[in-house]
Amino acid sequence: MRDGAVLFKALGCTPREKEREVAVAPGELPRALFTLKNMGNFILLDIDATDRPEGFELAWRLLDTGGEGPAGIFTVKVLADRSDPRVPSVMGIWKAADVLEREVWDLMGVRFDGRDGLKRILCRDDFEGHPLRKDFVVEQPARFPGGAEGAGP
Amino acid sequence: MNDGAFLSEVGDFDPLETEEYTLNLGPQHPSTHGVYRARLRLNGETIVSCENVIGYLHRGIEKLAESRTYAQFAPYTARFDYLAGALNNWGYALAVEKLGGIEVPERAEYLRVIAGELQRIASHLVMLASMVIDLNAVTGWMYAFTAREGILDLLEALSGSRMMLTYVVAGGVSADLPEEFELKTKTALEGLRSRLDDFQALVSGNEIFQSRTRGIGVIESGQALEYGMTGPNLRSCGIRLDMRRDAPYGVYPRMDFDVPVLHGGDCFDRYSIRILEILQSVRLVEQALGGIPSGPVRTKLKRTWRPPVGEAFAQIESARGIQGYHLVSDGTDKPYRMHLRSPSFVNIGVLPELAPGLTIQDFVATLASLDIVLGEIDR
Amino acid sequence: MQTLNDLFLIVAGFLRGLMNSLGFTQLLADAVMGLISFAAVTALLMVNVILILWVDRRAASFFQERLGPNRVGPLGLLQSINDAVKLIGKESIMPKAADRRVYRLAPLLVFVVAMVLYGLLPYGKGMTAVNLNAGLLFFIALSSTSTIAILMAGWGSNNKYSLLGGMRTVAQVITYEIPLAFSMLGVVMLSGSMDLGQISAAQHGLWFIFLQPVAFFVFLVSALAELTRSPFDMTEAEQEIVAGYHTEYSGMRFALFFMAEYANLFSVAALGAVLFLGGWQGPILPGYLWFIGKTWAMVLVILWLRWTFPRARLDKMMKFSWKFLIPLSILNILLTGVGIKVYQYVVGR
Repeated sequence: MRDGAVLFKALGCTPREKEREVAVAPGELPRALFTLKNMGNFILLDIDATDRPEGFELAWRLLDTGGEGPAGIFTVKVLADRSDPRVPSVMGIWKAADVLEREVWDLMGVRFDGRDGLKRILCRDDFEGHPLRKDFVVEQPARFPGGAEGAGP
Repeated sequence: MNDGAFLSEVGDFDPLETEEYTLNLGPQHPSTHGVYRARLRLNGETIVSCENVIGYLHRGIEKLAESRTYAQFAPYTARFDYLAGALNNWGYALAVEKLGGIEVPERAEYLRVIAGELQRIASHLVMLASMVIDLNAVTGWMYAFTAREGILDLLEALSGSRMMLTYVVAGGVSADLPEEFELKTKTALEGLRSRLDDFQALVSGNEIFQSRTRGIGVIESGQALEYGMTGPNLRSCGIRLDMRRDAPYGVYPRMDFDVPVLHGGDCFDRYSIRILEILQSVRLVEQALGGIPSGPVRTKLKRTWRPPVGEAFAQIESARGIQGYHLVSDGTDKPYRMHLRSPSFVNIGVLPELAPGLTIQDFVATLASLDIVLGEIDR
Repeated sequence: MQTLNDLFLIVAGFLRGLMNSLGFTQLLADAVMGLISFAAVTALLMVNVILILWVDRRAASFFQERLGPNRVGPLGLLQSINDAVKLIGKESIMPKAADRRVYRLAPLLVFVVAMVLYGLLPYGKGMTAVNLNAGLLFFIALSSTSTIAILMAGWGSNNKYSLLGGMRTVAQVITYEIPLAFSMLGVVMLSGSMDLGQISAAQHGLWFIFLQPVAFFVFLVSALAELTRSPFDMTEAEQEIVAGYHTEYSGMRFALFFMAEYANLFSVAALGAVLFLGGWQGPILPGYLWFIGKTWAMVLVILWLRWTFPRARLDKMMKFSWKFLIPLSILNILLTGVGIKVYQYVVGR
């Protein structure tokens, strides 16, 4: 696993309190991930979104297997605006991002620009709302197209 | 009659007119390992394109986690990858411990290895059984499941539950070893070894099995890394990556075991590597039982325990790949956000690229060899 | 002993005598005898299907180290009857857009063909229900007609899985008919006749399996493919195309397909026993018992293969037939011809 300082320098980004976490502006994301990929021995593990009061905090978690010692997680974080959450897609850099980005769109409602095929993956295609958002009302009658409301036990 | 003149009058036509058609493999299908659907576009029996459709088992567990305390959520984790419950428990426990700075007693670490590796054996046996039954070697399926019964009996003795266990919890394990566990394990593992030999004698060398799996569904190592594949699927493409060795947790650094790697990347290698991993897991269980120290098995947390504000991400080597848990705490006794990094979810991303050119039969074999579990894909 | 051997012939003779004394015309007597033999053959078919089902499940459980059916009747013997009655009681659901006539006709055709083949088998000396002097040819020709019936089932169900199953069946069955027929030619050459009774009679010195081992191997493999039994059961591959041509069939219609498969199993095994294992030839025991015993030996081998091997891939299986079995069986015919001539020359000296 590589030294955090080395990685920050290469990215030209601001480190956060944690040693291996970095925050970038949305626009810088593709360049940052591209740089990391070129450094070699990174695997895109996960794209994660958290609905924080200040906005949607997205995290790209990479497994760093280069360098000496045990492998570690390097995280690149982006804060997306609540009113119009959009970040660039990195599907062109890592193909694994395809399904991961679709999941974030489906459950959290963050759009990924620069890719096609951004559709729901876990919920039904005609589902309304984004379930993992904090303002999503959970206890509401289920709506089925063309059918009765709240049909159930 | 001048055929040329006739044809030119009729116009351009292909004497053997064919048409592509769409076939849904699933979600109710005898061999899609759960409620998974593949929308296949076929030309005869050859796949032209494949689209994964998932979400039939989506239960909203990540949202549920936000309204359960950390301890209440632990049983839910076994329902993610329901074939590897103890390993799921472990990943979650690691994340909670990282979040709250909890120490785990040494004896508990050894017990975790025992439960985890037994669970890994059981999970791999299911993969082997399902793969061969998809190729219609029904007797092989029966042998593998009989072997698994011995392991499940051990897990039941440990935790009280055969499949959905909550054995590994934050702070340690939920219970100590029952009586005569060493003896039972020894018998079960001997039985496992002999059954595995029977299974291999029946299936592995069989000409028909080899022709169905060798060279089918080949994944290149570069392709696997692009798609974020991990676990035995990646190790069968030649990349030696195993969290137990490369980012060790618990007492794995003290254990002596090999990480098998194969280089073909085809269905047969994905099948063989799991057999090799079962043998390594047997070694680990025996070592853990041999070297287990005495002591407490759990650092009990108060019922009203709250972690400090912050977040943690912990990853383990699950039976299917790297499973990671991300927990965000806001200082209350319930998680603010809980996210699962699921290895099967990422692994199936490779299918749309892998499927074109395969026949339906090859697709079924490839899907079986990827070893997916819908519980962790859909959550 | 001879009485026991000719038991059924004596009974048949007695019945004819009875009818003559009652003043029946020859035509009427023949018709009555025909009906009786039809009833006997049908009873034999039913009993055998029930028994094969039971043996299949018990043998499978024996291979797989489990118990198998053991609740319904002693040793679970009545399980198949239970299943048959259950299937009769179930609703036959027909897909709305299915081609009605074709869909309804298919299972009948398949079962009728299976049943008719039983009439051609020589159960003992002089005990063939319908004795044709080209019995073997008629057998093969008739068994091929079930292919059309299966394609009808696949097409008429209006289901892509069924269509795939039907297509696979057609491809597989016509591919394997050729080596099947060729493998039998050697036997025909040795016995000089296509009459199944005469082929059995010609083996009183030595069973043909010892003279034609290669042909027996080719016959066994081709028969498995013709029966669409594992390892060649991709026509109804449960794990790939759900249930192939009988996906959309339920209730009695499905039961007909199911019974036809097991009926065919017995008749093809019987054919193998007649051609290669000497039919009703054998010391001490009556001929029909030998016939049943040999047929059951073949049936057990076929069942055993099903539970051991995984399923072959369709294109590889077809290549196997075209590129290996057919040349092999032609070679066998060549060698048999040469062998016969050499034998005649040597013996003629």
